[in-house]
Amino acid sequence: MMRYQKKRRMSRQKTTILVIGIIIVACAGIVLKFGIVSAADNNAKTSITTASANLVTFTTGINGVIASTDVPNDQKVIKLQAYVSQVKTLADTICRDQRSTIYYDVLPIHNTCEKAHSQLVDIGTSSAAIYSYITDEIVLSALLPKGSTSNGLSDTYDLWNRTSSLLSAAKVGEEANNIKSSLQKAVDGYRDAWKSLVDANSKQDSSGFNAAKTAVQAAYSSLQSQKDVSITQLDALDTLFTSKYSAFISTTKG
Amino acid sequence: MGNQKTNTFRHMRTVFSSVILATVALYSILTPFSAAASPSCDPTGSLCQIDTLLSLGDSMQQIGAPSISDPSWLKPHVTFTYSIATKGNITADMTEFRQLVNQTLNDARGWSRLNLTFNEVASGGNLTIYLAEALQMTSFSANGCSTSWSCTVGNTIIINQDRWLAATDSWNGGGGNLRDYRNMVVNHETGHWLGHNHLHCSGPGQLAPIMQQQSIDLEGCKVNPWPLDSELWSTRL
Repeated sequence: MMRYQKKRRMSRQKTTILVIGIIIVACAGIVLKFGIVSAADNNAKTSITTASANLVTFTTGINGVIASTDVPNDQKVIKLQAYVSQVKTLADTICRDQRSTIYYDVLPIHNTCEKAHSQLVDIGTSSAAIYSYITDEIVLSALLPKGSTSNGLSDTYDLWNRTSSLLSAAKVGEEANNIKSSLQKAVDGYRDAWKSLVDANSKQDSSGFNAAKTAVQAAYSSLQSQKDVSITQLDALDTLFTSKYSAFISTTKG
Repeated sequence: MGNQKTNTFRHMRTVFSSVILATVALYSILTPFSAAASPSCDPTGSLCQIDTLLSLGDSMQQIGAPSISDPSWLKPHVTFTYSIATKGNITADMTEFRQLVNQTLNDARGWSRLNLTFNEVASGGNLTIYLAEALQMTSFSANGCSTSWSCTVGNTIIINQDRWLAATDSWNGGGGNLRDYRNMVVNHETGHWLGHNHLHCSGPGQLAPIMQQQSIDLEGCKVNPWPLDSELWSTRL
């Protein structure tokens, strides 16, 4: 009987030790896990803050270049391209270490990290759209003739006919499609007005000639207004960029 | 009664002055704040002045405004008369001079596009066209003419014989031939008579305006003996 009781007591002691052991190990695990999670969370916060500060630095830098009167425009465009790359790199690297941990989904900062990453991707995309638009607009502008008014009527018509074909063949990105078609329409209108003038001249049609002269002037004004159309289109892209930028900055402040 | 009027006037003057002073003060105070409140680009949060990178505006500026002269068929026909004369020791072939002047003045590429005809008469006429020895040039005008170039003085065109016989370094260097130079110099001086002043080259590789001093400097333009469309006007018509 005594022996039996002694055996039972020992068994109970073993169980207790085992349970305590399990509890200790579990507690250690939880403490360790929360330690890792907490460290990852802090690192993520630092990454977001750093990315935000870097973005402001890069943006201030590119604005300094754009405003400079010493830097030629082609160099400014190259710097803008570099700025776009910088923003894309920020998007790739923000919370990178945290996103690679197995605890990422349970990190308290998970949502903020994801949001900041996505916002930086948006800023990269919208700045790339601005760069793409500007480079395409430069290509289109280079196709326009210079000092083209001293030629004869037929020569002028031929010149604008060639310009129309060049524009038509020019390949541009999605952002510059509107300005391309708007410019094409204006150039075609100008070319057609000169054609009317050539025709009226060959027919010696005085009323037709005078009407065509007026049409040429109107088409010229329409052509000139394309610079304003271009500015409006760039403004729209710039507004989009600014809104994405503000959204990111407010997120990272919060 | 008189004192009362004077007091009222003084009072009104004080009030008026106070209002003016207050307005000026208010404007001075508010102006800096208004300026500060005006929207400006934040260089830490936007791409400022990004539209300065656009180039369409510059390209548009380089497309000159259309300048369309009425074609000759749309203008009333006018006939001018001219006579040929010489001064000094002339070695050039005068028959050739006379023929070339007439051909130039009535050429379909020239001032005749203004619906003009130039008829030669034995003497007098609307203008006199001289072929003059270089040394005689200043006798027409000490300031307006030189021994180096041709010139126009009033209703008298004077072609410098040295230029007629050999053109100029500028012209020859630009690939022009003597026949074209002779057309050019007659058209250029006739242009002055028609009311034109000098022009400059509109851009490298462009045809020179007839009123450019092509004898002296082509300025990067191509030699051109005939008036451009944009030059087809005259104050004499």
